[in-house]
Amino acid sequence: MNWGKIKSFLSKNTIIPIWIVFFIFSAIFVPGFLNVSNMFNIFNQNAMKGILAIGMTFVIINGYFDMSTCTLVALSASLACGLEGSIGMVPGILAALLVGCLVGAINGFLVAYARINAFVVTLAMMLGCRGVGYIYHAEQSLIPNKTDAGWAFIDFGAAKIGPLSYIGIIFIALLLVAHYVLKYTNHGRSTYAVGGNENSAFNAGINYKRITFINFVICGFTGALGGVLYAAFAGSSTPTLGWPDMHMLVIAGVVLGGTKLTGGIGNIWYTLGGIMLLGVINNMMNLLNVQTYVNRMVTGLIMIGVLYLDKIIMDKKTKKANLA
Amino acid sequence: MEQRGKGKFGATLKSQGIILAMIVVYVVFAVISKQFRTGENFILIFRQVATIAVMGAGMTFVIIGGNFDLSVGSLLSLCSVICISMHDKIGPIPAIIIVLIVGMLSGVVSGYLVGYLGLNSMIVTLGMMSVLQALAMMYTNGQFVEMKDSNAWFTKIGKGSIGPIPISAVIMIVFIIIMGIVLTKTVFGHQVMATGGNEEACRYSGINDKGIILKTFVMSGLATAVGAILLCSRGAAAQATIGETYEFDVISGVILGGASLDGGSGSVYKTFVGVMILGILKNGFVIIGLPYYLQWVAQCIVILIAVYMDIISKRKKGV
Repeated sequence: MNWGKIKSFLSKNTIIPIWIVFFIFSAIFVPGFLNVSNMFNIFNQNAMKGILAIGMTFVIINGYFDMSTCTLVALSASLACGLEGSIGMVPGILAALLVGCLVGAINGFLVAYARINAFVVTLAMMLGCRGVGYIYHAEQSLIPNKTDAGWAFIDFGAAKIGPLSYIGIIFIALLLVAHYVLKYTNHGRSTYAVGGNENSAFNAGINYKRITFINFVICGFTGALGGVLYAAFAGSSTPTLGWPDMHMLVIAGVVLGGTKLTGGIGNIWYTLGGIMLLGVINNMMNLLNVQTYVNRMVTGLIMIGVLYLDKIIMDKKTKKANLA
Repeated sequence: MEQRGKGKFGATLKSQGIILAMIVVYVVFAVISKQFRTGENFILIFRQVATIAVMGAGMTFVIIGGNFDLSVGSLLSLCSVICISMHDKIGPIPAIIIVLIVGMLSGVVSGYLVGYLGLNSMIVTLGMMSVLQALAMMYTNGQFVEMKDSNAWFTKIGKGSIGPIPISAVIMIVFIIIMGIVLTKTVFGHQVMATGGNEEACRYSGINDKGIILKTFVMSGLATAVGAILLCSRGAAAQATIGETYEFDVISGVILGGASLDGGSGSVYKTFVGVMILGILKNGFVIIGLPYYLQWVAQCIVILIAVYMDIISKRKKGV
């Protein structure tokens, strides 16, 4: 391996050096950070957020973003918990996932076909999902009935194979699927094309409306799946789950990884890096017994800092490219 | 002749459609509920929307400049707790001055990061949101702060009224008129419009686009500080989460007012109308006794319909 290759690899994947710096820093200064069980702990804790981020990655590469994820999480969690009594556990979960797809489809339809600004659409859907979620909850927490199916649901959220939780395994599986879809399928390549330049994608014969629509449905699906898993993990659901900034943390994770909000650039491993970076920071603060609000502040500052670093590195690269 | 007159009337109707929508919403509630159509309630709505309307005027500048400011909710909390606790320590006037400075400083920081360093405004202000929220929490230690004397003249800003008109409504209207004049009649306002429309073209024509973007954020910070004064003086107390999720209400109002999220167009007055629609909805739902969370569903539907109508009318015009 020559040095130049490594250097160009690192400057393309800025999240890796940033991640390594944070990792080494916490390994040295934070007692109890560097051991295997803590590493798996970080992974398992952030797997749910990671699942939300997978769908978000598709939408962001497509050049949009989805703000409705935060309340969709609460809505689908409540459906998964609440429908158990009337139609059973598995149909309840399926219904929750279906609602997620439906919300994604409404988002996608309004953005792709009605050409309304994605921010407006998803902001409105966020409020809509919040309202419907509260109506369904009637301002109470919902817990699955104490039947076999209900217990199985809660057990699923806590169960582990070795050190990995079931939720972590689902996350890994979804990462691999998303990687395959983005890299090797027609839909994935078209997503990059549409995100890069919608007009030229259209001229190249890509049905950009359909691509955008499908990506929003994917995002709705992963949002609902994340919500169901949250419900399984916590064994209950509350109407305030995910409110008010879950979608923001997810978008921040995706963008910190290096996926560009302008669209066309990014991949699923960036997202993994970004989400895990936020996870490492959070874990570090918890181990240091930092108060929650200091934790929030440092996370905010680091978010801005990483964005700035990424910008500097990108600027250098474009300058070099211009000179060459 | 008549044809032309009709066309003109139609055009006015289209461009002022949002005002018509406000009147329709008001009339619908007024027909349904006796309590809603009282004069006191009409005035109460003004009192309720004052904070959001003032913040919306500032946010309009940021959005016309082509950016978002998601940090206003947290800034509102921070300014409110500072204002209340400083009021007893150093007196009302210095407290107000400090709050205005804090608001503008926060605007300078996000404006610098977005304008001069060229970072994405959404993520930057999201980061600022966490930071400001944390500062508010640290400042209060998570406690509730209240004024010793809840009848001091400072509370009259939020609670008092001149005749039937609340003082907060007067401040709000004056503030909005000033902001409107700044946007439409001054060089700075035109430069904001131009920067939001096409940043690059602006730079080539000699406008300091970076400085303009910074100033839009300062405007938003200032407006939020004024909003905080109106909010905390009304209750004579504040807590560190008082402004949570205000940003969504403010941004919804600006969107309803028809400001283009790509930047370059918008109006402070129409933002006020947008905020008023949301305020009427909120007030009306409570008065007819529907669960308060239905307002979010209504908000969702109203926003989507309004924006869709806007797009259709633009398409017809061929813009």
